[in-house]
Amino acid sequence: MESDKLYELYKKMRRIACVEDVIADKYYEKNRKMHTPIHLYNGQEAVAVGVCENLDREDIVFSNHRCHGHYLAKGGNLKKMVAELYSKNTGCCKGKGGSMHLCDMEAGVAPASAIVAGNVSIATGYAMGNKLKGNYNVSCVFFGDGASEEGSVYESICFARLKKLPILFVCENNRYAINTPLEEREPLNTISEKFSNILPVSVLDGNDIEVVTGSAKEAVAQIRNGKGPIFLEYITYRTRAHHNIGDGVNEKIRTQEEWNMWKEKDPVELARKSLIRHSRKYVRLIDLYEEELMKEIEEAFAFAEESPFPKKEEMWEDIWG
Amino acid sequence: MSEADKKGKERFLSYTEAEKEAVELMLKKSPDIVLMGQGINDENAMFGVTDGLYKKYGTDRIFDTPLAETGLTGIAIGLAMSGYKVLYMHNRPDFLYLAMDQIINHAAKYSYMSGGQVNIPLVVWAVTGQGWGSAAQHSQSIHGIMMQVPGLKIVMPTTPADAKGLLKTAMDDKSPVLFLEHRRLFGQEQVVPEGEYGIPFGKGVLRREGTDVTVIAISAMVIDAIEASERLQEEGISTEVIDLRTVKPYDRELLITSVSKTKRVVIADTSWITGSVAKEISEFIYRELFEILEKRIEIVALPDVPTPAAYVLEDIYYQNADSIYYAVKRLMEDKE
Repeated sequence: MESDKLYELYKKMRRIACVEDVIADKYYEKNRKMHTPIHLYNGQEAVAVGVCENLDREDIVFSNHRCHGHYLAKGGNLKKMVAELYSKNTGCCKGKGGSMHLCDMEAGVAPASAIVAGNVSIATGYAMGNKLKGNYNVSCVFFGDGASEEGSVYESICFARLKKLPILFVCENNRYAINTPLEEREPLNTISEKFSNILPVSVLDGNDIEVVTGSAKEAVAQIRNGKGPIFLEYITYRTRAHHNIGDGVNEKIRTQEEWNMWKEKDPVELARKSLIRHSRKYVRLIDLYEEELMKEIEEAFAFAEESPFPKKEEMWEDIWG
Repeated sequence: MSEADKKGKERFLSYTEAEKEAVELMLKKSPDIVLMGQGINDENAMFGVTDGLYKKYGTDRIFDTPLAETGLTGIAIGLAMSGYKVLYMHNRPDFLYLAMDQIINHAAKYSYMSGGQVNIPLVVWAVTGQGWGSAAQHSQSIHGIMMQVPGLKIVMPTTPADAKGLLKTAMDDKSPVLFLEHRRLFGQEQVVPEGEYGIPFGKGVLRREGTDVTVIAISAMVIDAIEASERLQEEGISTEVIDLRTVKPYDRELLITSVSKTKRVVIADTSWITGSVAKEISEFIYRELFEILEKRIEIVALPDVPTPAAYVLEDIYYQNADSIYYAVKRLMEDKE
């Protein structure tokens, strides 16, 4: 990969990581402003960025409770995202979705579902809609190794294959369903093995942005050419706890050694080191971007702070029942 | 008779013929209609509603499905989100329990959760059974369970003409609609107007006018209520029969007008009594008209047990014209 391209991808990953870090920093501030449960994306940035890099605005992305990274990578509006976390009516969901249901249809980000596998079948249906319309748009759904255990994932994958639907299934295998490790839940070492006799699957390094971008590029091209669904499993790790701002390390969950090993492989840090190996010019460029990024994030939080709360009567809007 | 009924020419259609006509008129006009369901293109063809349609409109738009109700309901939602109007048909609502996650957690909530960014124009259609020994899993009326869910509309037509008009309204709606029918209604034939017409949600209809007692009936219980009211008329008791047509939203105005006149109420539901639509309506009437009620409200609904298979037990379990007749008689006791 050309180093300037890598730099662009680095910036997108760094932006997600930095937004998550600022959220974590402010989450427990005095006069708490964010009243919404957060599931931060740190550690998995390469998956969202590398996959979405290959998608166009008309393509649609479906996500889950851990949706900040997918939303931002696909081009979701940052100001509206922070405003949503601040319960403001300028939020992307007008304050009715919160952290787990980010949505920006203008950017091709469907409502995220906290019923972790819920969007896998909905994304499949959306892909069917695209196929019926005869366009070349791709539907892409992100879900975890835990979600893959829900029966509807199997149902959706079989149906997508039956109808040769234009859908990319992206499994982010971070090895934990909340705190339950993979080996206590699954008979096989990878998730892909469960589906490998139904559709093409690959197991890939989810922390290497070049690997993710390259594999997703090939998959998306095949899907656009009408070859049917593809399943990509990215092995990765979240360096935050399942929920909240901690690192999820304690004797009952996972060890410091394990965490340290994965922290060494943090995708943003790997990309940064790679850039500097390419050329020293990136030291300065990275610093410059850091300033630009902090300014953008500060503006987003200021926008959220200044925005009004939803009015009482807004509770009754956006429902047709 | 509803307005739709009156407008018609002398052309008799069965319930499912009327629905087939509604579906076909929509298919002809709009390329955005999709029909799906397990067995939709088989010889039964959803009791005839979809009979042969796939030959004219193709299996891309009218397709048979695997059983997988959870996944396929999600797929129906995704299709709807992408811009299609989707009719997902089930021979039996009992299998919809498998789809509850998608109906309740997703279809009913996505418009709200996204701040109105998406619509889910999905109609989930199913037919409640009441066969001979169908037992506990082929006989359930699920509207009481589903009524709690904000964002979900529930339609339960009784007559062929209403089924046609309400199905069009359901398909034109931006939000998910549960369209529940009853096997006992399929025997009817009625004059059904030609062409497309819609019947608004939240508008019940008087099937019979009366002055002594209001019987508010849902779905197949309307047939029983009319039969009971005919017998009661012979005894000099005048019964007003309301066909609710849609249980969410339901026609509060019509209930108030009728009950204000009769001051006596029977509510007849096709489902279990606890937590039922009948109980919801009775609470509404108590709240609005408590002072004027002559007697406490009588509810005719199923006892809180699963449907038994043995016909001797079915006879006790299922409510019918007799149940309504005696409920009205109880309300009229002090008058006689």
